[in-house]
Amino acid sequence: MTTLITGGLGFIGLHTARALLDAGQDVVLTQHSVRREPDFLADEWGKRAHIEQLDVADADAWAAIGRKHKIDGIVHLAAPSYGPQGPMHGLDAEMHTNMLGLTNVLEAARAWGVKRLSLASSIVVYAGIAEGPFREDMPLRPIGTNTTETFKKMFEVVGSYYGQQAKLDIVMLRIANIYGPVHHSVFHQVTRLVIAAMKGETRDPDRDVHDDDPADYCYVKDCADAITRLQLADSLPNRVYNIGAGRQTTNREVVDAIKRAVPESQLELEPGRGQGRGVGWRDNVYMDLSRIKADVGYEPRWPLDRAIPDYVEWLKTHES
Amino acid sequence: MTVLITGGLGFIGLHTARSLIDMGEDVVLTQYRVAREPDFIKADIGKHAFVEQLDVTDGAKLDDIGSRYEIDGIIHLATPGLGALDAAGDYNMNMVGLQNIFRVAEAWKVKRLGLASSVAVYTGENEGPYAEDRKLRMTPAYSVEAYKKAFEVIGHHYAQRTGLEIVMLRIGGIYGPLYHSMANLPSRLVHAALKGETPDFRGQDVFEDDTADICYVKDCGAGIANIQTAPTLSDRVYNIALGKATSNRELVDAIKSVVPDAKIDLKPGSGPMARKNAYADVTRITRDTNYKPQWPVEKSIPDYVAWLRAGNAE
Repeated sequence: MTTLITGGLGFIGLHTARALLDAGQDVVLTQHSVRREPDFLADEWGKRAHIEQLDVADADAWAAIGRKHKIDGIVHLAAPSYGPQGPMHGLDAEMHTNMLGLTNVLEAARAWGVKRLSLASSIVVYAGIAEGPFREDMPLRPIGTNTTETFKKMFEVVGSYYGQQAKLDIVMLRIANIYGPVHHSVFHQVTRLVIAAMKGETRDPDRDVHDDDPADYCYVKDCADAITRLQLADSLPNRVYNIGAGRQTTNREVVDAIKRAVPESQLELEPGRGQGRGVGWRDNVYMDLSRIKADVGYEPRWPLDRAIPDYVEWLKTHES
Repeated sequence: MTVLITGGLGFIGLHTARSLIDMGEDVVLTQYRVAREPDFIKADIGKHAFVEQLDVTDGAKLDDIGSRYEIDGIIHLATPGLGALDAAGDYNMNMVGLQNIFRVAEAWKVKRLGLASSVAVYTGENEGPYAEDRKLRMTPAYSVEAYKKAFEVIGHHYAQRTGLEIVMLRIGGIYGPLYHSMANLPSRLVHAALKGETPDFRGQDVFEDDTADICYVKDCGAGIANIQTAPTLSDRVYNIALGKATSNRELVDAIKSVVPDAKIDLKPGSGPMARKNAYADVTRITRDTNYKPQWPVEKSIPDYVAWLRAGNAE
């Protein structure tokens, strides 16, 4: 059995590939602009893991992959790279890639008769919800205030209807704030703090980071395990699943865990929270995991005190 | 001022055109499959109303239209017919069409772009009134619900990123002259009454006390035109509806007032699907524009029946 992972050479894609391989699947990983071949997949290339060049907006390239491989599952993680270092500049390019990318993946899933298509969504869809924990059945605001919120909501509403119309098994993956090995955009707060500590910095070089500001921070190995369970489950009673740590972690807890793993860490944080109660303040900003636990037996196995040392070890021997 | 109305020869498009012309605007109406030139707009064709063939997925044709008219406003009503296309076709017409409309709206520097949405976005909400700031489910069951939600989410973002003024038009359950697909109850009841037939309830029980926000198309056209021509708007999303719940009994009474022998048998009481305060909140549109609903059923049904009796029934 072979699973195609779009954006498969990205951060979450590579770990998902590892988890799927461990579950006995072959994988085809697509790459567009990012190419990394980390050592944790080194023995698999050309055997059970294959790389294909793919611009998700290019229908012909999709067809070519279909001719070359017998794909029976798809995990669609590819998203245009938004940062200034990425090749995607401007709204038109983002619209083009997201909209054509979605129709191409939906049509490929239909044409190839795949067993399941998983579409990456994000915890960002809960923006504007006054208080957590965030549950999959919460109504959401029908607006997009940034690129991720916009296109993930578009994926969800169009994907869930399309699945019904074309009789496809489609699942939405609402992914929390993921950190860990190979993450390179260095946007994520935990990644930034770990790297800053290892460089001997006393603070995040570009941001004021506050002790008590919380988030659902999830180690990438847990995330990959969750995606794999959802992708391979025989049947799923729901269409939308949260993937996260299922708890709220403060920056203070992160820095304390870093200090235990990197004793020479000089990191200090700003006290309290970044914003007073009011705009931007939310309580219980974490994913409710009842659904994924009940339906596929997912259980986060990488709490901070296990994940941070694992990550630090990896960083010691790799370029971040 | 010239306003492009995609789907302009459709049901709501023609009434919107009528309202805009009455306000002194010119309109370019696009047609794809549906072509109608009803009496109430005939005299304006070639003067204030111009008809163009357009498939909204055809960007070059849109550019061509833009080169021949000074368009400074767009109302995007065009939508695939219900069940007319397969999944890929639906996606293509909705999403490629939307991208094309965004592109030309920017290129032509239009003052305002109205995107047709629908009160179908409130599907799954139990109790009304339905106000625009509600949070909504992201697991739509219907095509209109799915694509209108997608339009709204992307429309907000596009407006924010580009500065283009985009307004979401959450259009209610509309009935009245030219309505032909017969999906909604008022039109079906009126047509059946005039033919002396018992109405087709499509296998469903219809209860006397069940209510809905049913909106006459003349109000709807006026609402859209008012939003399009308002000097400024303080919000991006507007309900366009009657703003009150009409019961099936009131609807039938209105029909019987002009067709006394109408054969309509409703179930007594209210049904299992009854929703409390099942109407769209129109506070926002009445506050920000000159919109004022004029057509409750006791007025609209006689108007509709008179239009059908004047030789307009199919």
